Amino acid sequence: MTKTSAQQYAQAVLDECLDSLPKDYPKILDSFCAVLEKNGDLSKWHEIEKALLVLDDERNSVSRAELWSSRPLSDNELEGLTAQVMADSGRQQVVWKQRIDKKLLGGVIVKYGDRVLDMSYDGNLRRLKTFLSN
Amino acid sequence: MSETKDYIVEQIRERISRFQNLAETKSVGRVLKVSDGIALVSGLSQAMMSEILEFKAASGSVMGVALNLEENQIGAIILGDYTAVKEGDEVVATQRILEVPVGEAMVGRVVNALGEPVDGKGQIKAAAFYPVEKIAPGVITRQSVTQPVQTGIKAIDAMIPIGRGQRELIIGDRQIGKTAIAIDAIINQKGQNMKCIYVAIGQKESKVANIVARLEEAGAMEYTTIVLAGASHPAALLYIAPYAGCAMAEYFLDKGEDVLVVYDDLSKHANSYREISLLLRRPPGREAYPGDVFYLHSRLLERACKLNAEHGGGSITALPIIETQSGDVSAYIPTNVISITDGQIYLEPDAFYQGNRPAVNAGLSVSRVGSAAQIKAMKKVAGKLRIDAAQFRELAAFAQFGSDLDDETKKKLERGRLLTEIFKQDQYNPISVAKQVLIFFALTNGLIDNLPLDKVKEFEAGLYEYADISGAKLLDKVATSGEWNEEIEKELRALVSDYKKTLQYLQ
Repeated sequence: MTKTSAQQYAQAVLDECLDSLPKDYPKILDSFCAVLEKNGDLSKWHEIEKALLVLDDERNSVSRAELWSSRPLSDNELEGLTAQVMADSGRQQVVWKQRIDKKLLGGVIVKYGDRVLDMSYDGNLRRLKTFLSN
Repeated sequence: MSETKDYIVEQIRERISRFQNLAETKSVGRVLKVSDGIALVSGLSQAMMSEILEFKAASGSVMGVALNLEENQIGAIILGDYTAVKEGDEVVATQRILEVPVGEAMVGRVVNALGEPVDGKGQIKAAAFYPVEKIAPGVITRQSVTQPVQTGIKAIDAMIPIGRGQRELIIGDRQIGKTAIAIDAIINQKGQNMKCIYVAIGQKESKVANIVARLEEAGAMEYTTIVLAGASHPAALLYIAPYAGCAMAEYFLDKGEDVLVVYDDLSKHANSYREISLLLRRPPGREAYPGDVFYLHSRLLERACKLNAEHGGGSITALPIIETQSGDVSAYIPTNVISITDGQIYLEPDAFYQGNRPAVNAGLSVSRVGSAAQIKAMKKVAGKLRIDAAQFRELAAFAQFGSDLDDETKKKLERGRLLTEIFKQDQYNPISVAKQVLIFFALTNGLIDNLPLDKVKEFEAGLYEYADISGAKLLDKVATSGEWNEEIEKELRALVSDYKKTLQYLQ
């Protein structure tokens, strides 16, 4: 029998719920859990949860981005970055998770999806080193 | 001192000014699973087929190549030390397709499948980098094969001629002289305006070391590159090696030069691809090979070609080698490669153990290019040799049962025995085309019909020596003029007769 992936489970349960009324949700979710148990896929729940989050973000056009900077960014700076991530990812909303990392010396590193945008001084110095040594 | 300082400062300033302080965007993923040189990687949604991936392992970067592109993950082969790569390691897409260094600097070197030197002769300064995978030249750019590749092996040059741009398979059981034919062919390319590339796939490194030593001894490393993916190397490198060798050949092809590439051997190449495919969980087919194992070899061998004059006129001649099990040419990989190539040289175990070396089977060997790839003189003297040799085998088997044979049959048998003796040739001892014409001329014109079989080798060696002294101009004319007329025939006849007069056992 073909194995069902976590993405396929997530897509199925989300589609089913979106096509139904909220009052029917408990019934759908009961059936879903029964199917998981029957297929021996209860252990996939964590992956399914992640896949659901990704699908929901896709549906709501949300991009989740992580941001590392050497100091807290101003609203203006964050706004500029948001516009850039929105343009690159094609999403209409960006949810930020910010972290401070003094090692960056300056600038920022942004990560969204499988893209990494390195605008840090640290990264630039590393690239300058490679450029000069070549 | 001050001038030096100014110079240094100026140079650094200039270099730094050229550096563009831009943001770097990269596509990253994580290793989900790694086993036996294969990694499954999440993310990298924009990775390309055959793109180089950088695995950021704890002990340093390890390179890999994307091979399976799926919706949420990609399958990659790891080209370096795969034991260093761990689950969860970051993987960066480099946006570069796998490529190898090419150029004149590669000649005379032993390199691995990635073009890195392994001969301890220092770094290679490559002229350029060529992609490992490339679409073969199209119909418009090609022309038919007309120029010969002289292998220096009598049985091959006479019966199964190979042309520049041809793909000729060498097939036979293990330890039967397949590599020997390829190496002899490389040795004979000296002064023939041909670059050679020998790709060792899954071979023992001691065997390759011997080959390198032999080629060096014969002065053949001056125009040869060895691409080594040894038996101890991971399957990924064995898989890439022939394509890398072909890319190196394409550099010379683009310059309008002729190249001879030996793939030794494609059976092991198919095995390595099977290993990779099974680890990547691609569906297995016949003999557990994946569905695209035919394409694996057809796309490689299609890159062998003869380009027309408008496209430089260069050529890549391919000599793939296939190892059979107990002489079974109808197995999966042998039949695939037989159908792709323009002919095959089949080496037969029985003939080999009878002492007929090279053990070429005249009946099963064929060159689809045929006499188009022979010089006129060779065409003239050796035109019917393959049929004669094949008929002799049949006749000899039949004659075992009957003692009462007519004169015609007896004559054919005698001639056949003589031909079989002449076809015997020592390894690393290629013979020039003019000398081959000379001996075949003597045979087909009945000039040596009375030669005892046990004297053939001695006679032949003596004839070549005699011709070097007394007929050097004639040999040169035969090899270079491309003509064949009565005058040449007369001179050859005279040369053989004169030599025979010097031999007591023929008086």
